[in-house]
Amino acid sequence: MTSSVPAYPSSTIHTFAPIVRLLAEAEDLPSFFTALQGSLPHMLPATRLDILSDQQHCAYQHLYCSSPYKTFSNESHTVASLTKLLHNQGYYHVTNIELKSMGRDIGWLILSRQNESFTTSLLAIGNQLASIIAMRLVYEQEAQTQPEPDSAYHQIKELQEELQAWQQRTLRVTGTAHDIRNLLMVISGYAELLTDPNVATFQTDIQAIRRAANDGQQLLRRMLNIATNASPRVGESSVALLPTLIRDTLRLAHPFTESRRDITIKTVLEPVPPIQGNAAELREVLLNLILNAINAMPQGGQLTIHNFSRGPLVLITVSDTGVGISPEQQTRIFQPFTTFKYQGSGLGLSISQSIIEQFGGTITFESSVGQGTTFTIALPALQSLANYVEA
Amino acid sequence: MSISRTPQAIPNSALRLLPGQSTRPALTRLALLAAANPSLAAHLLHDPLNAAAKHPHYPVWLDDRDQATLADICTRAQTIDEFLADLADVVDGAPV
Repeated sequence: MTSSVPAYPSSTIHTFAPIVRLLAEAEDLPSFFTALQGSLPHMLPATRLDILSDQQHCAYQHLYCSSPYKTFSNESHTVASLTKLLHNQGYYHVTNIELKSMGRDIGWLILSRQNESFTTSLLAIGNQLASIIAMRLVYEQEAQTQPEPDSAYHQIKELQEELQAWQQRTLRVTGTAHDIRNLLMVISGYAELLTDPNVATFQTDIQAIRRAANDGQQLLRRMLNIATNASPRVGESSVALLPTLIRDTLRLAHPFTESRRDITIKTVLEPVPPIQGNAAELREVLLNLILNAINAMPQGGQLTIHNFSRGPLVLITVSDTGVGISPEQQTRIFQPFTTFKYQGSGLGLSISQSIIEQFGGTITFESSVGQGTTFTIALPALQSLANYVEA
Repeated sequence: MSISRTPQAIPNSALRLLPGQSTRPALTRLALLAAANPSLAAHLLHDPLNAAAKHPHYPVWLDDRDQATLADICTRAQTIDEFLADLADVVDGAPV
C-alpha cells in the first residue's frame, strides 16, 4: 500500500462550489443537516454518517443520521453502544472522529460503511467534514445563548422610532411656543402703539390685536394636540386667500416694522386662485419670514412681498436686501435650532417648512451674501376654485 | 477496521477536500468552515486576514498568495453569499 493519492486530471475537478453553496444556504441546524445529506454522496459515497452531540453524563444525544433507516434519533448513546448497533445492522467498517472546538468536546462523528473499508483519502475527507460539523454546532450553540439578532434589532429599531417621535413632538411644541412669542410681541407692540394719544386708527389696531390673540389660541391648541399626540390638523384646513393673508400678516408685523423706519415695504399682490390651508398657520409662516427679513437688514433696506400664480401653483416670495446667508449656513437653514439672527431659537424656518409641506407645498430660498435673500413658498391652487381669483 | 487505498471511490467533487489534491488547501478549508458558520463568514468578509488566523476554533494559516487572493475577494464581494461563492470558485480553479 502506498501512502500518496495519485493526481487526478484537473479538468475533472470543478464541482466544489456547489457543496459550499449548499452548506452556506442552510439557515438552521435541520437545513444544515439536509444540505449535508445532499452533499454526502459527493464527498463520502456509500458512507453512513451519525452525529452524537449534547453530552449528558456519559452518553450523547443522537443528533443526526444520514441514513433514512434505523436512525436512532433522539436516543442516548455512547460511541461504543452506537458502534455496536451499527455492527448489528451490517455496518462493519466504522470510524469515529471527535468533534472538538477550543479543546472542548462537542460530540462525535461516526462514519460507517457496510461493504468497503475506509481509505486514507476517505478518512481525510471525514476529518474535513468533522471540522465543518463542529463549526456549525458551535455556531448553533452560540446562537442559542444569545438573544435573537432579529429580535434585538427590532427592539432597537422600535426604541429609535419612539425616540424620534418624541423628538419631533418636542420640536413642534418648542416651535409653536416660538411662534406664540411672536404673536405676544405683536399684541404688546400694538398695545404700546395704542398708548400714543395721537393714534387715530384704534379699530384697525384692535382688530390686529384680536387676530394675534386668536392665532395664539390656535397655536396653543396645536401645542396641546401635540402634547397629547392627537392629530393637530383634523378639521382645521379651509380655503385660504393669499392676498388677504399677506395683508393681515403685514398688519401683525406692524409693531415690528413701525420702529424700523429704515426699511421700506413693497407688496406686489397679483390675482391668484385660493389655496387649501390653515389661515393662522399660514400667517405664522409669513410672519416668520417677514421677521427674519427685518432682522436680516440691520442697516435698513427693502422688504418685498409678491404673490402670483404659475400653472397649478400659487407662489409667494418674501425678499430682503439684507446681509444674505453664507453658503455654509445655507446647507442647514431648515434644520431646527439653526439661527442667523442676533437672537432667536432658530425654529422658525424648520416649523415653517413643516407647515407648508403639510399643505402639499414647498419652501425654497435663494441668497447672496451682502445682497439679500428671497424665500419662495409654492402651494397647490385649489383647482375646483381656480376660476375664483382674489386680488 | 481495515484501511486500503481505493482512489477511484473518491468523487471528483470531494477531491478538493484532500489536502494533497487541492492547490489551495488553506482556502478550501476556509471556504468550508465559513460555509458552515455564518459568523465566521461575516468576520472573514470584513477582516479576512485576522479572522482566518485568529479564529478560536480552527485557525487557518494563509500564505502570501492566499492572503492576496482573500483580500482581492473581499474587495469585490458585497455580501457573504458573494464572498463564499467567489472563494469556492477560486478553490475550483477560477482565475483571481
